[in-house]
Amino acid sequence: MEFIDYYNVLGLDKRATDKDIKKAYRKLARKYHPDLNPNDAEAEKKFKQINEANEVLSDPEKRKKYDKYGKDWEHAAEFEKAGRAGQQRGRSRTYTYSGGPESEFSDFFESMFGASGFRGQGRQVKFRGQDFNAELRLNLLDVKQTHKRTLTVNGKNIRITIPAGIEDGQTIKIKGYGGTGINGGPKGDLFITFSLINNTRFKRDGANLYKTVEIPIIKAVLGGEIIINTLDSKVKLQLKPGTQNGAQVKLKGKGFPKYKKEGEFGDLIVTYKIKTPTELTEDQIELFKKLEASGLK
Amino acid sequence: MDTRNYIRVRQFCSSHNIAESFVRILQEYEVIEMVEINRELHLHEYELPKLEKMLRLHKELEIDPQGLQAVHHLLQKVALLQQEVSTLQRKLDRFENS
Repeated sequence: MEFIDYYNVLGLDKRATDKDIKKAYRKLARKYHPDLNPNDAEAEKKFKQINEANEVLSDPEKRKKYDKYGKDWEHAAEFEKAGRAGQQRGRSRTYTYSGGPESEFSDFFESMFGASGFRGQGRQVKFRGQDFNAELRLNLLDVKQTHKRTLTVNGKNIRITIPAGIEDGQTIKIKGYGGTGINGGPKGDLFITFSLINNTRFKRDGANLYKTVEIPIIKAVLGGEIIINTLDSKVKLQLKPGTQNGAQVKLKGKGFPKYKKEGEFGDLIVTYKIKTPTELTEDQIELFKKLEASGLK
Repeated sequence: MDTRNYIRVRQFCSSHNIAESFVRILQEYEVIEMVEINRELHLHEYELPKLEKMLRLHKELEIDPQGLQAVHHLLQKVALLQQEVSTLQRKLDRFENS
């Protein structure tokens, strides 16, 4: 456990006044606040350090003790512990050792002032933990149905529900799965942004799907029946005689599920593209010539 | 209009103990968007995390609305850049692993 120079953390010297400390703390807090430094673990660490420095230096008693023992703090800790043990005889245990990777204060602080030494001062500002951002890549067909999925974020397993119809680039918030709060503040949130890979033959716009279907020229002229694939089935469509290139039909409810609207679906919009034959037999060419000669335009 | 995903501005302000004018200024500065439903201002649920963040910065760091506008603008830029870095990182990983 190393000695921490709190004056150095705040960029001050030992003669700093209360006003200097407050000013330096405010300045650094603005620089390293978790809300201003998304996804920056270093900034969060630094923010914890400056909070700890402020906790000690802005409290006259703690500052006095810190100044008195300085680099000999290890002896101070022993002395204080012995003193506390004497005072606490017959009382319930007050001091705990929180430790661990998510501890808000350094081992140095906790050793010198006790793990709960910072609480109950009433003047301390609680800061919410940092928000975490994560990206989840899924295939478009994965979000056709609402399903649950387990993610591992910062070593923790989180089971989330992915609602059907979620959009590419959409972000959902998982409350309380962000960074640990500072000075007893609440945890931050986890924001998951979805990156959807469209591996289908449909173009998606919200809940509507779009598809271009090629139709033979004969069917476009005479009309007829075609079968097309929707997202999860096949449907039979009746072509009107004289169907034009670029004509569209809307298949109601055959699109993508609507986000957070259970049982509701968008539409499938089919655009017809007339396929002009390129490999005709002699007879077929002759027939087209006859059509042309008949005055067909 | 479907109001299921909207929250009344008055309700938000009262639960966070802030004046409605604060939210209106942020709207004026194009930091958040509000809609009027039944002659009352509402916030979409998507706007809440952003507004809560601005409120924290205002209360904890004493940043005024003009400052919040600048912060909002810069945070948007940071988010875009982070997204770009992450996309490029993925591409680079694929390239290096191929």
